[in-house]
Amino acid sequence: MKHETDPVSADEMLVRLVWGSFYKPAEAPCVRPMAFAPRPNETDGISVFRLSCLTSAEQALDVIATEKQPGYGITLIPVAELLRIGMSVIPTPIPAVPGHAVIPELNSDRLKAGRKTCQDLQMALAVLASADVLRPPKV
Amino acid sequence: MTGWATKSPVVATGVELPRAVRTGAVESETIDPTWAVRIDELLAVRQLEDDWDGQGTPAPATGVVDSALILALLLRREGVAAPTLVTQGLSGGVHFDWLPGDGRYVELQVTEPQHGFIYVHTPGQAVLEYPISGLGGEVTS
Repeated sequence: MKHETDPVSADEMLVRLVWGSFYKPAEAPCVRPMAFAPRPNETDGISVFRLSCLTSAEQALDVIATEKQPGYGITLIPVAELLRIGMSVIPTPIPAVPGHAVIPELNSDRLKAGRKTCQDLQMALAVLASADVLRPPKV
Repeated sequence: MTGWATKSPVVATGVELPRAVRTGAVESETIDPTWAVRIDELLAVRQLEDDWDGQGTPAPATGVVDSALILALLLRREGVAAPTLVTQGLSGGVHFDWLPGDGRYVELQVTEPQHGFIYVHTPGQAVLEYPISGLGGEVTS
């Protein structure tokens, strides 16, 4: 396991939690672009978790209230692919779960400035995440 | 409820949304029955409270959902196929999307009352953005 303050390397995988209404199995992309929109409080970038810092991908769900956890699917995004399409990942540790990081290119300020650029990035992430759905939402 | 007037502003953008398949001679038979499901989903979105996702995300404002509802009713009446998906967004809006089967992905976002955007993703091309507001609409690329 890596320490969460270690630099992120290209051979790592990122965990992105995807709310159930943004997931449509048997369609392409099964994970929709809106799953990667910045929340209003995500000024520094959208949240991901470094799989190499977790005991399992499911550990990322510990950041969510227990009753809401079944509503989430778990997807994986290769860092190498993220870098290839011009995005980056920055470690931003939080107390609740190890390995928290953000994708700074998708942040709430950028969304306010213009949605179009974010749409392109969100679609690119949707395609990557759709290729590796580790666990679909349970509800 | 605030409205989108009597025609959907999507018409003015020139974006071609998938059409409902006509099943009979009666005009009402061109209405995609899946719209009823999608409208129920919009009504459910209207009931959401803040922190609906356990990550502190605000629920869409009532005025935004009402605009989305009116837009849905107009699109339904205009013979547009029901969206593949209708959902609340992470940034306070309401989203519709369509997968027309020609490789495009079309997403409509209602971001404020009577205001939103359509995004058309075509593989290998930059996304196209069409602001929609009231009855107007213009493309930016």
